[in-house]
Amino acid sequence: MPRLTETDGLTDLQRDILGAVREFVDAEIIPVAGDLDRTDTYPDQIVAGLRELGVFGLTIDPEYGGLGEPLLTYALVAEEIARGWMSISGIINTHFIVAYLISRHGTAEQRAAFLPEMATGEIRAALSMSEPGLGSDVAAIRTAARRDGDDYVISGQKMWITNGASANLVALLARTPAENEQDAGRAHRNLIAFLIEKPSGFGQTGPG
Amino acid sequence: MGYKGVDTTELILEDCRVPAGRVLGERPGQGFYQMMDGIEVGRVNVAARACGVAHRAFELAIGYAQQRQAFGKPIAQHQAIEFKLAEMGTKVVAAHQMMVMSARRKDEGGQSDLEAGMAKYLASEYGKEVVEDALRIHGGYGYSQEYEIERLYRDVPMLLIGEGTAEIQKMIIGRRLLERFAVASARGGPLFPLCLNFRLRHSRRRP
Repeated sequence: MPRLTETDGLTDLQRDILGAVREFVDAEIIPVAGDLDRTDTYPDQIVAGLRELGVFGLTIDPEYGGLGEPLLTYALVAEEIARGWMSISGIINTHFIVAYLISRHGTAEQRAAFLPEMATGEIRAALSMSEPGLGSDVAAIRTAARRDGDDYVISGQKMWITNGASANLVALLARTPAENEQDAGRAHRNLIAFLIEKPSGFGQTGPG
Repeated sequence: MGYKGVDTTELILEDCRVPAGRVLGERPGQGFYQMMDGIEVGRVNVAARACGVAHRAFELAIGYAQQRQAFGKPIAQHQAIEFKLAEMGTKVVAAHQMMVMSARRKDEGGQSDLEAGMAKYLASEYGKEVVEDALRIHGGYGYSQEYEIERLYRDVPMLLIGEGTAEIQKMIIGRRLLERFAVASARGGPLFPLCLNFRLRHSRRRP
C-alpha cells in the first residue's frame, strides 16, 4: 500500500532505516499483533527482532555503540512501529526516554555504565513517576528518599510503569528533604531522579 | 482495555537502598527538571505513535471501503464515506507534519515544549477521531474482534493520557502562548490606545 505521509529532507541513512523498519512491521508485527493482543502475550520475538535491527540504540551516541540518530529518526521509527501495533512502540518509548536522560543529564560514569548495554537492548529501561494518588501533578510525589551514608534509602509506591517488569533499569523520581530553608517550600526543587537496577520479571527483589 | 502485551505495573519500594552514584547526573535537586526534559521527547514520541495508529486506521478504512458493497456499489463511492476518508487523510497528514516539526525543533535544541505539546495534543485527538471513523466505516465488523480496527479502537485512548493528558498539554500550550503574546496590562495598557486608533481610522473612511 502506498504511504500517505512523506517526510522531506531525510538523509539516505534515515530512509534506509525507515525502509527496514517498515518491512519488519509488515512481515513480523502486523500478522501476529492480533493474537498477541487477545492473549495479552509479551512479544519476545518482536523485541528480539528490534534488537537485531538496532532500534534500541538508534539515538545512543556511536561512542557507546549506538547509531547516534536524532530524535526525528526515532519519532519516525516509532510511527512505523505503532502502525503495526501501538504496544510495541511502548516497549521502545520508555527505553528511549531513559537513554536520552542518561545521555543528556548523566555523569560520564553513568553514561559508560548503562549506554553500551542499552544500545544493544541487553539493558531495557522503564520510567517511573506516577503514583496511585497522583499523575499529572508530578511535584506532589510522595515516594521518599533519605540519605544514609553513601546510599539513599527509598520507600513508596509507584504506578502505571510501562515495561515495569521486563525492564532491568528504572529511572525513578522521588522526594528528598530540602537541603536548605529556601528550597523547603518549593515542591519542584526537592525531587531526585534515580537510576535503579533490578532483575527483570515480576515479584519481590532487592536492588542490583 | 488496550495496550496489551506490554507489562504495565506498579512498583513498591520498601527501604530500597540505592548508592548516591545512581542519582542522575549526581544532581539531587534537579530531578523534576531532568524528568520534564525527558517527558518532552516522550511527548514527541506519543505524537508519533498516534500518527502511526491513525495511518493504519486510514489504510484499513480505505481498503475496506472499496471492497464493501452497499446499494449496488462500493461504499467508497457513496459521498458519506468518501468525505469521511477525505477528513481522515487530511488529519493523518496534518498530524504527521506537526509531529515532524516538533521533533526537528527539539533536535535543534532550545525550548520546544510548546511545539511538543501541540503535536502531542493534535496527533492524539486526531488519532482518536480517525480510528473512530475507520471503525464506523467497517460497520458491525469493526466492532468484532476478527477485525484489526477493533484493537486500534482500544489502543488509541492510551495516547490521550500517557506522557501528559490532553488537558495538561493544553495547559502548557496556553501558558506559552500567553507568554509570547503578553500584553503589558489588562486596563490602560497598549491594548486600549490600539482600539482607539482603529476606531478613528475606521471612522475616517466613512463619508
